[in-house]
Amino acid sequence: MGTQEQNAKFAAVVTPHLEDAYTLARWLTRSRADADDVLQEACIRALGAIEQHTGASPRAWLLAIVRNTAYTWLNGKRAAQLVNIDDLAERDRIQVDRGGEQAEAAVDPESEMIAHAEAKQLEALIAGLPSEFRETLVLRDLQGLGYREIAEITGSPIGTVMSRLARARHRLIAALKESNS
Amino acid sequence: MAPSRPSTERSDLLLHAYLDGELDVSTTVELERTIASDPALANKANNVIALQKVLREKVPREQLPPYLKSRIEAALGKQRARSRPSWMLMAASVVAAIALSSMTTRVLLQAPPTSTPLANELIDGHMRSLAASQPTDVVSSDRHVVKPWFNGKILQSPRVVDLAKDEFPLVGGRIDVVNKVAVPTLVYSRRRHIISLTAVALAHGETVPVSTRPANGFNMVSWSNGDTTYWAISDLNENELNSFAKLFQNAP
Repeated sequence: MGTQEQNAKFAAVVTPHLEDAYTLARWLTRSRADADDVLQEACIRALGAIEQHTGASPRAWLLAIVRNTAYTWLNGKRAAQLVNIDDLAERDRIQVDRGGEQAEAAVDPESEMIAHAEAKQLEALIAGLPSEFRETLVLRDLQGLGYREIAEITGSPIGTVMSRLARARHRLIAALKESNS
Repeated sequence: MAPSRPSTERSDLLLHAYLDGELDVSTTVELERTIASDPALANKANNVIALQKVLREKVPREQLPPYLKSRIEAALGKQRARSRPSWMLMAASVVAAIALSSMTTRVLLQAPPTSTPLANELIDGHMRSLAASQPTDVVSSDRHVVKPWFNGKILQSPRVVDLAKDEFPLVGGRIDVVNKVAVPTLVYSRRRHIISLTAVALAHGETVPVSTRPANGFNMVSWSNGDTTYWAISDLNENELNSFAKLFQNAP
């Protein structure tokens, strides 16, 4: 068993993506202290599983480990605040439709308003999203992953990724509009 | 102005995929047409674009704090030490001592790279057994005692032959770990020299002829009979080790 080989592979596969891994851990746990512990645990798991990594998208591979570690961690600490997506669907849809009614094609003060949102407000809104929405939005809009990768990391079909992303964004847009009106 | 059609859930989902560059060409064309004819959808598109931009620009990137980096490195170091059995550490220290004699460098250069890890693990096992008070876990010169001893401890019970009349008496047996797999090792002796003979099951039924090479101050002979590869390691001279290998192979 080549410990050295293992270390070299870890350095090549995991190390370049530690910052991304930390970002995801931070957003999933919503706490720096928890993110520290989750990242450490995820690194230990990644080292143990490094031989099984076959080469396809090291970043997605690592982020999937971080995600699983984070949820295990949260479940151990306190019950993760999971919200049933089906309960949310109706409300989100109403918000989406209301947005449509208020539409004005020519001038677009809404987009102006969104563009002026502050970092603190954005962070609070992201943190307030249910975890399924939050992880999808963070992976796409903060970390720039493709739908296929997100589907792989979260273990969901692409259609689910699409609808979660749409709903997460509409929630943020609706909240920004509301807070500034 | 004509009232805009309420956007369907489908075009709403597609809008996001469109803005993320995830749509195929024909759906892209279709959606661009829809957006052009639907001000409400165009407005949503603008909102989403503004949101993506502000998220990208305003939400700060996470930096990995230096204290966390060193904390993780420490944790990984501990993990690596834990996953290595203590006898391997012991063997490693013996290897380190031998390395001083410049022998190791030469051997590593000579050995074919693919077989080096296996050979090293076998040598580690042999050296560990020499360092221990007993080179065997079961001590017996009777092959009818040694062979059954392996049963229940490992999957494959090795072929055990009696070479006492050829002055290679059986000493006993032990279990070594090669590539995380427990394998049977028989221990024979010649005068005061110990011979470790390890049987490793082969995945592909190839046959390897007897080959000899020096390694870490030991001599190593390996051969294969189709489903098992045998490795004999000893500080015995090459000729005698070769004749041991031939006797073992040709024994009934």
